[in-house]
Amino acid sequence: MKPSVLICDDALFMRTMIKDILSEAGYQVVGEAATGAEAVEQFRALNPELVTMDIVMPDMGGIDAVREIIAEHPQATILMCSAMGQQALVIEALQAGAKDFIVKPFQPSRVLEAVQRVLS
Amino acid sequence: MIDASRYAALFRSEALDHVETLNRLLLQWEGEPGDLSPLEPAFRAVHTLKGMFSAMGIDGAGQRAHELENSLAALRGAPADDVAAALPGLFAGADVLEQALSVEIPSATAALPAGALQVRLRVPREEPLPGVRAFLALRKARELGTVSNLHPPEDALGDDGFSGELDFLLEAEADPAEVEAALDAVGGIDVLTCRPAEDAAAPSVAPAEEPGEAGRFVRVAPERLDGLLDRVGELLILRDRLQQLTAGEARGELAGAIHQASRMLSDLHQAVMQVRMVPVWQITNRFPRLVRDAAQRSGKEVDFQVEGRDVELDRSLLGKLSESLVHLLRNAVDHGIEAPGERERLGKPRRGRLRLRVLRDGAQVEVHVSDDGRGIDRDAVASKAAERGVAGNGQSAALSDSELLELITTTGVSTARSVTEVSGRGVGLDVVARQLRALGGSLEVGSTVGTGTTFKLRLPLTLALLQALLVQAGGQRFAIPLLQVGGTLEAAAHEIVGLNGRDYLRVRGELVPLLGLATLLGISESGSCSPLPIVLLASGERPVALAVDQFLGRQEIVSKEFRPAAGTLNLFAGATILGDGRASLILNSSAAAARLLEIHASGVAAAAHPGPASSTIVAAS
Repeated sequence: MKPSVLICDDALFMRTMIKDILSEAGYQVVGEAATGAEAVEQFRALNPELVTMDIVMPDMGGIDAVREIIAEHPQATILMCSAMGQQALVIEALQAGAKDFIVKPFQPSRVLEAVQRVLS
Repeated sequence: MIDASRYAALFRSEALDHVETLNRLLLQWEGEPGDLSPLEPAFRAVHTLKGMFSAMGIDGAGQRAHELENSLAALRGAPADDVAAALPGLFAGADVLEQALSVEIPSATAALPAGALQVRLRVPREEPLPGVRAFLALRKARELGTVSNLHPPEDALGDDGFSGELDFLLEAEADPAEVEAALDAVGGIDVLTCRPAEDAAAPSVAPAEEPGEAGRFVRVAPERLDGLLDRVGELLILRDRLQQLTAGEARGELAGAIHQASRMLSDLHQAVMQVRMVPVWQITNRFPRLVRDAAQRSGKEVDFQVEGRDVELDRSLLGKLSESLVHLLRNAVDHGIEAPGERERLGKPRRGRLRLRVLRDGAQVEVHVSDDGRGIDRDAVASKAAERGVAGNGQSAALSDSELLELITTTGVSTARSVTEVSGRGVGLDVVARQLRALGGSLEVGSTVGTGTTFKLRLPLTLALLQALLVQAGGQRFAIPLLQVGGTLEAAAHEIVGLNGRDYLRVRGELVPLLGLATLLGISESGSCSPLPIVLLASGERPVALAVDQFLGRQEIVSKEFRPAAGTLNLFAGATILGDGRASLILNSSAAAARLLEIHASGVAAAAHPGPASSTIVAAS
């Protein structure tokens, strides 16, 4: 059985893209969130093996969501999704507990590479 | 993390400047405790030192500096009595800071733990957010062990300016191959290097070069100056060679070109020599503090002044000169100047006067150390010398200044009342005289009982390039620096007088001790042609006359660093390569003169033994 994934991004368009890439590779997308708060709630409910997290979201940003999730679930595997030029923020997210990152615009091969890395 | 050892030399020299300033201010303050104007500049100096110690990781000294800052701050607006009471502690604090400067500054890579790996990573250009990639790699490394010496520092990873390269030391249990694989698995990075770190052969002294603040001074490592001078020296030798090769054959343009090159070389040489010239305050700045401390220890009151601190001399002379002066100053305080009570009884001012004067006299530097103390007791010296069987018959009346000097600079003759007195080694003037002679200089003394003593030191301004007289003696060529030559002449037989088996030359009514140079060096018996070529040496002690086989003319020579083989008579100041490419030894005239007088005093027979010089002269090249 392929790992379960929770996708968090405030843009529907982005969520759809990631969902397509991951589903095609056999991953199970079990939930979606559009804000940081939703991301934390969904995680509690679904306990996914992987989370993809956007940085900038309304109602609690991605970094804070990472902190909250890690606080409750230290083993959580979170992959940050970042736009170009957000180096410092990504580092902050990694310091908060995220495991790796991918950049937009997404290249499917790189996304899958990163996912494999963090799940191995 | 800064690798402190790279900055060691610069740190030391700058910190020393600040310590000297601090000492100067404290001395000034001690003279006028009620005048608080030295306080703020002293505070600033200590504050700066504190910062410097911290930057170099010398935490102990940084702490002391902090405490010293507090002590100073507490004296703001204080009355003179409080200041006077606090000053000994302030001086002690300054000493602690100065001592901290001689501490070894450990190289950051010196204490490499066994098994440390040097790791270098690069994020390929096409990787987005390279800083974050590097950060992930760093995080992985930290999981494997301890990371240190991180370049660039971690907070630079978030900057746009991050180059993509990251290096650090990693102490890990895992072996290099495992570490490399783990780092590689991070993805998006190339592991360029992952191998055991060698002990860095980092020199702990960096050539401290600072861009000069507009028009002020530039710090240059001494080795570079010496290197520059060496090269100019070689060029000069080459010039001589060229001149020799083309002598008589050079026509028109070639001759003109050589002539021009020759002049430019002389100019260049002058310029480089100028660079090596250093004002004497570099050594005299420490003296006021030294004199004060010596005076305190021996219960004397001394008023010390330095004149001529801006006179420049060649940096190579500074070290030895400093030692000699320290000796003379200590002696003046310990043995020359009387205790305040005694001085008052004698009708002298309570505070003794000690003066250091530096003057330039043509191509020589003169340093006078004079005190208004009790003077040198010639009777005591004469009888001590007789008692020790050194020389003389105890008759003091006939002791001239130069004879007195000879005696007091002889080891074992000291008129110090007690050997346990502060300097602990008696007068020690023999050391001073020896050091000066080694530099090609000389020492003179003038003294009146009850009034005071003056020592005069003479030194040549420069050592490296000399005008010299070339002579032939015993089949070999020697160079005698012109500076020390009083004159040359050819003596007729009747001008040479023999007394008690010793030869003297009659010069202007005086009898001057005469010996053949070859005999002096023990290489052969000197010839006795007539007229006899004679070089008069006048290096400030007693004039002497050296007989040679032949005069070979004058030449400008470059003195080269000279390491004599063991057993060489130390009568040579250096060696040089003459225009024909062959080596020649340079005579140290003061040493030669001293030796001549010794031989004369002990009988000419002593000179008949062939000295070790014969084999050694061949060795010097």
